Amino acid sequence: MAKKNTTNQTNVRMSPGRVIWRRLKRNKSAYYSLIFLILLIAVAILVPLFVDEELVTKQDLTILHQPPSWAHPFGTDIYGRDIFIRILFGARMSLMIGIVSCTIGTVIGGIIGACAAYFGGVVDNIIMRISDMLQGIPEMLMSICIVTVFGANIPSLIIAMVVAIIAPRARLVRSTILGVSGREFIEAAKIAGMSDFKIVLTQMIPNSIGPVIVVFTQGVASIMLTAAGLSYLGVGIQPPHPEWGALIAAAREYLRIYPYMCVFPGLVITVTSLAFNLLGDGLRDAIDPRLKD
Amino acid sequence: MLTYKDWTRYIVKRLLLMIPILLGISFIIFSIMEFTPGDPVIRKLGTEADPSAYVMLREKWNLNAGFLERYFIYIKNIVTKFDFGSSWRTDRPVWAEIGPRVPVSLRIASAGIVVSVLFGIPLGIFSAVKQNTVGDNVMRVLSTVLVAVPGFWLGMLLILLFALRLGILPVSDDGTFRSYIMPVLVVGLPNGCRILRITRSTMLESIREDYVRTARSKGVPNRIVTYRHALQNALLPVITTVGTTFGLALGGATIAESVFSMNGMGSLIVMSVRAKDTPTVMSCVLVMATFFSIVMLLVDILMAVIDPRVKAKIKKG
Repeated sequence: MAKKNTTNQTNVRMSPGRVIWRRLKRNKSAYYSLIFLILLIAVAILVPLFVDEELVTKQDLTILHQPPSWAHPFGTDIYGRDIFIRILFGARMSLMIGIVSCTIGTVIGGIIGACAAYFGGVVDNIIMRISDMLQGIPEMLMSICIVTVFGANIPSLIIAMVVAIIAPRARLVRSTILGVSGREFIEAAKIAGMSDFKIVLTQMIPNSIGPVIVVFTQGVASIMLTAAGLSYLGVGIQPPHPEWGALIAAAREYLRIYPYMCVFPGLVITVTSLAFNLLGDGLRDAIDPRLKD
Repeated sequence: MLTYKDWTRYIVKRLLLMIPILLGISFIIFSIMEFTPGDPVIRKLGTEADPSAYVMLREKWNLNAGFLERYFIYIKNIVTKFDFGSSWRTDRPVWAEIGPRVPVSLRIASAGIVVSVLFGIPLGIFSAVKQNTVGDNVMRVLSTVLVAVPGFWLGMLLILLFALRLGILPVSDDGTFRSYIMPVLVVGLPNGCRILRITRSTMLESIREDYVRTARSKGVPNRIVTYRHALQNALLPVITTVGTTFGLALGGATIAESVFSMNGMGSLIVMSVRAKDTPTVMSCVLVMATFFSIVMLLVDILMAVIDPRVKAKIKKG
């Protein structure tokens, strides 16, 4: 009887990763968002192999401001550049800014938050007070200051976005770790004689990484929106670069005559950030089904 | 119950706590302006300026003194004389620069928050109470999409529809309150949807709590269970979110101002940072941060009014 029970259990038990993956696959909107994002990233990486990069900036006087057609699905801009091609190349910048700065910010913020939780006491206090200060500055203002002083290029945009998310990420990781470290299974592991290092590696991290992953996907979306907003304000990436916010900023003057020039890039930003958000929602439900509505 | 004295002590304590935070913020911004490339004197005079004029201006702005020394003088002037200095870009007092612009940004941000609360919370409750009905699904799709829309693009779509097609609202600031409608929507709609989503999920969570089931099984009418037992607890995290959303609304206001070409703080900050005009940048950030912390304080007071647990904490000191 006892033996049968154990074999049964090994059959039923799957690794947490597999369980989450199966739940995620059942969530249609999250699953399709994931596929869309993978395709988009693949296109962003591979597009220079199939399309001549010159087309992004090369002006063609024979096809000025043409409305959408089969040859130019999103139309052409006032310099005769195909907006669809510009959006494809723009994906390289927008996605890179979103993913790279979210990754760097989450890692740095995570390490700082983990330090605060691990050392506690004075260290914790200092870190939390500094993050109070950073969070007291409205995010957009801070980003405007940083991007403007470092210059309108991708690295400075990434610095600004990283600075903006470090404090909230540190807070998140700190509170998740504090929440986990008081739980019974940590106690059990300690009693069983597991070393501190092994506890952190095999118990703490796997049990607290969930919320971080969820916030990571949603963070990419919000960073893309903020970065596009900075470009729109004229302090971020500037035309003729095809960053998505810059595309909309360049189309602003022609809103009255050629509205399609601003509609399509905006739609692309919206759909992409929507996909990241839906994936984040799906991951949250898959990781913690109790929260599922 | 909290006495009048408890409240005063709590509020004074919180106001005093704002001082180190604002000092920290000013130090962070001062350092950013100081240790990044760009010479304010050259920005002002141009690269081919007369060397003697250059030296004179550096002298006038006291740029030869050390970084910490200048920071202390700056803070000392604010504390002792309430003097925020003069803008390096225009030579006018900083207050004259900021004064007319603060109300514009604050009006957009606060009206935006009010709008977002007014539709976010009721619709969120509705969505949760009528979970999985057509109304809930429509609300869920709409709010998910609107959160993903970039604010400036939403603004342009609004211009396209209301100003250019229908012609019922002005494209930019014409001095009337009608010119504020679209900027407020640009700030209010996405933030309202954020609040709607949070209200919905906290409400769903609290509807499933044990005390709600207990109340229901005791025969308390459904309406009272939903709007008293469940809602009161569901609102607590929502109120905190509204507070932090005010920070986002201040940022959103800078974008909305730019879309509708209104003269608010956003364009001033961009101009001043470009000119490396430290006094103006510092004051802009400090003004915004002060308003942000006051809103957070109001949020905490509201929490104490609603939540007896918070009240107990304040009572203890």
